Amino acid sequence: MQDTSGQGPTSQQHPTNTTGISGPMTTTTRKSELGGREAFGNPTSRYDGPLKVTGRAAYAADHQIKGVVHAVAIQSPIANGRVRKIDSSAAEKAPGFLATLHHGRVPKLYRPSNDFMSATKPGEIRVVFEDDRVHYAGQYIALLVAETLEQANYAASLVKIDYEVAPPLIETNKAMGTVYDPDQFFGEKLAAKRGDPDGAYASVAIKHEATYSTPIEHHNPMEPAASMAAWDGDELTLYETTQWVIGARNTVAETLGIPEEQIHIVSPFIGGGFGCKGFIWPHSVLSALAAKQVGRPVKLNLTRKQMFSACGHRSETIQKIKLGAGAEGKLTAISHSRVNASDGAGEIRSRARCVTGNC
Amino acid sequence: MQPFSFSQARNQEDALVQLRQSGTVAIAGGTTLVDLMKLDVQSPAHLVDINALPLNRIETLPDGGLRIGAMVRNSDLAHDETVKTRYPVLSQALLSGASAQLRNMATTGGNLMQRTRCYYFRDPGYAACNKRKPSSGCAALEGFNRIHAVLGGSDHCVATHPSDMAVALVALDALVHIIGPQGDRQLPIEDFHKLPGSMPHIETAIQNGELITHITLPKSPFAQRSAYVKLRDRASYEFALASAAVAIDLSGSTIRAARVALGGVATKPWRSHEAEQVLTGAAANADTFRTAAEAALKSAKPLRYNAFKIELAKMALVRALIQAVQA
Repeated sequence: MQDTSGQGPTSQQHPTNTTGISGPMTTTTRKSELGGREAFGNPTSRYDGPLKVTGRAAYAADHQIKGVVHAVAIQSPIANGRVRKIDSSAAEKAPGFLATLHHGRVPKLYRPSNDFMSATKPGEIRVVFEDDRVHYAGQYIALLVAETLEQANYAASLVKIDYEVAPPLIETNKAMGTVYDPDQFFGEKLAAKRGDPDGAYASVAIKHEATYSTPIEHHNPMEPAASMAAWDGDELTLYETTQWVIGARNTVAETLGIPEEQIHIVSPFIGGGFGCKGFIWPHSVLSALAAKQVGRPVKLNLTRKQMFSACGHRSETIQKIKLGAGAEGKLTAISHSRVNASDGAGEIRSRARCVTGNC
Repeated sequence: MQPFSFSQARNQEDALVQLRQSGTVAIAGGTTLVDLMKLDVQSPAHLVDINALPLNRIETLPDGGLRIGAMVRNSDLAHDETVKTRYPVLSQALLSGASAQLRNMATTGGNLMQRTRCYYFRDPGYAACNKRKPSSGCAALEGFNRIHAVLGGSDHCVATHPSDMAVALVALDALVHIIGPQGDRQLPIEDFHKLPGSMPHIETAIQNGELITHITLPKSPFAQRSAYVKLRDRASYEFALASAAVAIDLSGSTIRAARVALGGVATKPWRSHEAEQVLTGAAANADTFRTAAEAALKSAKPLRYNAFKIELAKMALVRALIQAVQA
């Protein structure tokens, strides 16, 4: 885009800021861009586009912090059961080893209030490393911290975990006995009924009744989730892949049991989210815990594979639809009830069942 | 990933000396090996980098054949003018595989050595995999086996061979040239890959300490009229659920000779002599092609989740034959 107005720099010309952290915009530029008439009716280049396509935008894991060390999350290979024993003695002898964290080897953590309206919403109600129970495959069982990522990966491979394996429930149709009606979802009532849909449906000329199902869907943005934590005394800075900085601050503060004023969330860019960077997932707490424990900044990047189990997914649904219409085609009855799969570690999506009446 | 040491081979002799040490594996493009090391599926104690070996040339032979160095990158081979015009099935197969970035790294020899994409093989979280750990069992037989083989499987392994290039080479009567402590040898590509049988961890004819140096393609009456069709879950950067490489020598509308190979459905790049028999001397038409496809899949044995591959492979083969005839 050419600047023909003479009113100031355009978005393509000005990124002289090479860090990308404090933001490419100066106050004067912002005023010019938003106040100028050229913003209306003309094609406008994306403001952060030049930084992103030239690789100068610093995403969460891109930030360089002096002395940073690396954490690797160890996940459960079993879907149900209990951790009997974690033996990290061999890992502790590996080069670069700094620490292992797991149940029984972390400070006390607190379940956050889980209230969307006050901006605390963990992805899991259960706090990471809360107990020895395993609720799903991919659950974090331990965290290993070492000087380099390679050393952390290698040391993590030496941690021996003994599981008591219980049969998992993996087929939704075998869990239908556990369906319940939740009260609310994000502060809104789920069940709603208007009029008399059953009565209306019974007397209509044209009827359609069908059950539709949707499978589990995973979100996998280009940028996997990452969290880098640096403590300065009691002050914690978290470089996060979050779209909800206030939620991240409040949720991590409540989980760690520290005032929210002591937590600073840095998240200038997001490499795609698709829903997995809305709520606050355990990695954000883990990096903070690890950094506190080793007294150094800690970087925790999720692998692509971990993106399938460590930051939620869209759950399976089974939806029953009944539509009733008169002979002339006017809808007089709509009934829609749905069952959502959930998990035992604390649901985001409840096993919801709602019915819509004739609208 | 486990710690390992690394050295570079200065020349072929040096490479062979280094490869004699136990626990030593050659690394070329690294597009398979590095992944498997990261996944803790393979943990060699020592890597010998063979990238400096002078094996990166494509040469026309005096008898009209083609000699391809083992270190020729997949992208260079796919875009070679001689390959594109005289062996189009090879170019098509290469370009259907992986991504441009991977093809720029992956080599001809390495492609032949690439290992299966079986989920259970690639995840040490599963204890049972006869290919990864002999006599440990096979999780795929009773597991989720949608991508597994319907041809050439055994009670010990049903993992497919993932290569596209090797399927094309089978249809081109390629020879694999190998050097080793016992001297040089060459063998037909069809004999290079092994059926799993009771020893699925032995995947090729390569012995300890040996190295692939070249592939040669003979001058062929049917290579020019050849085609590769690959069917998969997405149109790019995905392995075949079923693929077919065909090469036909056509006289008018009669097929004088043909080569047929299947990929994605078998435990090794699969030559179908049965389909070739149907095609030889027959009229090049839809009935012949369908009959050939039926013959190619006649001995197919479906598993719980992969029966669809049988019809898919037939359709891939019919489509490839149509494309070859029209080429």
